[in-house]
Amino acid sequence: MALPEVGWPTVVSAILHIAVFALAILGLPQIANNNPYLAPDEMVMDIELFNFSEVIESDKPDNPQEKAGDDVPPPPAKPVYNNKNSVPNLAEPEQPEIKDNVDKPAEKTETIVSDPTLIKVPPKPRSKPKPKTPKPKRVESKPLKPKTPTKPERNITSLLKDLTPSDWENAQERINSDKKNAGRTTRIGNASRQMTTNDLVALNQGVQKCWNVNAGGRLAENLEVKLRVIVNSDRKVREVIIMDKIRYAADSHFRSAADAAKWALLNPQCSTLNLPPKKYETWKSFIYVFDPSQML
Amino acid sequence: MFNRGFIAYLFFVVFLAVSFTGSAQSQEFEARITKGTFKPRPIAISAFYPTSPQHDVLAREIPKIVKRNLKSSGLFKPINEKAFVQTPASIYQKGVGFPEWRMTGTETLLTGTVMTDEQGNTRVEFRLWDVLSQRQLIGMAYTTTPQNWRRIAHIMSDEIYKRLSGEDGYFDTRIVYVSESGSMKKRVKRLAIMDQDGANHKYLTDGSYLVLTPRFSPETQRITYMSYQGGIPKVYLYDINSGRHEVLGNFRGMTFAPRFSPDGNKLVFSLAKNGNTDIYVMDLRNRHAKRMTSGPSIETAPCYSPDSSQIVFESDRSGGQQLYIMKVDGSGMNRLTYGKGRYANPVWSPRGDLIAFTRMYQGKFYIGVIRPDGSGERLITSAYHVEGPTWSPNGRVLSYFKEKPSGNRRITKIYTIDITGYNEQLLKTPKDGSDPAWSPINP
Repeated sequence: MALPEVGWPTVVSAILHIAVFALAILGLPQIANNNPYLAPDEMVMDIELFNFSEVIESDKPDNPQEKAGDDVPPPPAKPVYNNKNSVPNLAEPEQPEIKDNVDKPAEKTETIVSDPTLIKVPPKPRSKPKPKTPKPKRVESKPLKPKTPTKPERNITSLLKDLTPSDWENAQERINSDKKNAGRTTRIGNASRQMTTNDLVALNQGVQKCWNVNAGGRLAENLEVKLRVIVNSDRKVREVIIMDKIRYAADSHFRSAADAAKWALLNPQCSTLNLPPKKYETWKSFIYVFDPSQML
Repeated sequence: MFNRGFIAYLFFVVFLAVSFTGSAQSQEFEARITKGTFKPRPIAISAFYPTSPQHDVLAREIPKIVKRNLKSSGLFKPINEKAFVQTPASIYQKGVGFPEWRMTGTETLLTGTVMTDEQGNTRVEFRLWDVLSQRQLIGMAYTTTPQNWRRIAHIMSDEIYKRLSGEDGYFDTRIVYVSESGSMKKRVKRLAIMDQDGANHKYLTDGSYLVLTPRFSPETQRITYMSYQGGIPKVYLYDINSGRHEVLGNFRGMTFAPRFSPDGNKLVFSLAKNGNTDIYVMDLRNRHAKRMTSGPSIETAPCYSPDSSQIVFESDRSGGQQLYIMKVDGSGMNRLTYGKGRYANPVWSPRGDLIAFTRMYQGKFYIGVIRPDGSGERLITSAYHVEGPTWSPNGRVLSYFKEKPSGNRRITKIYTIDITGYNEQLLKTPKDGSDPAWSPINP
């Protein structure tokens, strides 16, 4: 059966449909942002005024001969909010200089130590011949031995102190629980094929010393934070964006955890990430999930 | 010219191309980190800027109190002032130089000013800065009389603590305790009250009779305690405003271990009567008491849950001293602990997530915490004799007393500790101290 011919209106309509389809998937084109120090969303600051109306006794040294029954003044009245529009006139902070001449860190021959808790993904066979490039020296890593605690220090494996002797009956329950937790493995997430397990381990090892977890906080095990990290080609963190802004504004515990994760990446000690320089196109923007649940 | 087959083919090809490109672009790789560290957060606390010489003292002392509070919590580590890169005047005139402050290793910076407002009151402003992100976190101002500066510092500490940790603070609070002096044979015990940092210390009784186990009412203006005035142990109420002491009730028998309900309208306590000790609840509005437990066993040391739905207490009904939980109507009794030794003095955290207790085993005392479902028991401190845990109002810090022999006497001191089991600190008192009780946040 011969197909009927279509005219120009149909063609134009088809092209418009395709364009709308493409926009729906790709989104509007982003205007390039050349400011390497793009400031995060400003927070609205409240200046609250409080008015103490009662006077408490001055802080004098205690007199052991003091008689009992002296009047104990109640604490002064709670401050009263009295002038919403009064904003102190403070100078604006200086804009930081944008320095382009950043000294590159000296090349290091890193010892890649594989994390035994990670699932090892076997390397895929290459279809094309590998280009001749000098291989970096790699030191064979020895299996990590379990550490015996010598003193009650703060470390990631014993954030919560417990003095219960091991020969008490409830210690067995605790040991069983520890073994169960040790069997869990860390998920890598949706890693690109180009980022290997060792790449991600190296990345985490460089950041974890700067990531401060509030161990005793309420609901500390339910504070997973997702960040979008924008990185310069010199591996220095340029911008960190907290993805769950709604929860950041509403939940004080999450806000604290998100700030801690963000500061881990902005800390000068950790802001140059352990990333393979040749894979810049892969890691120039990535999602970083800070999950404290396995530490607690 | 263009047939529908060709259009459909074109659609399909473009759709494949767009899908492939779009999916490749939206698939940023995702890394996950599950190991970090637990250490005090660095914070730089600058002296405040005094707008006139009369404010010099407050401009120095208020940040000192804030620094001491935050450091004592164990969650913060103030940066040494020698590392500071700006003076208070420089900050006031030019603003915060973030790149320079980054080099000090701090995450946050506290700055402020002290001035006199149009009414002649002292006005204190402070701002907490995120140095790494180069933005302000909080900014507040307070107006008060100069003599009230300590309370400003405590309120400021609470605001900073909450912003950085996510939890309510506990610095604008007081502690009531039993002050002890004298020899072991002639021990003098007096009720005393002070700010949580040991300042503003006052005695509430004269020491002529024995006092024990003081407890704050939730609205802070009343204290309940046990006294041997008249030779018989009874529960008393002390009104801080009026200074008036009154007996809770004329029970036949001994009443002890009193605690307020979270709403302050009821008191739960133990009453020993006819050789049996049970738990009673009294409504303070009409002074009607109701017995909650029965049976030949000893039930004592009751404590409400923060939602007022349950009561935890100690009992020997199983043959040993253990902890139990029941509903407020006395039903639904469940055993909480099963460990060796003896459990005593259970106290429910204001957060509701933990119960603190004293445990005794093999001649040693421990302070521990356990979840209300009986799991996660941890012992966080031990001593020759340690007991009497009390919670800070945010449920993050415990206070208790330790006793140790020293020659022919014993030294009794009050301590605080974080619920992680770290940062144990001595709370200085003029004399020995025991039985601390932490107030809610001052109204």
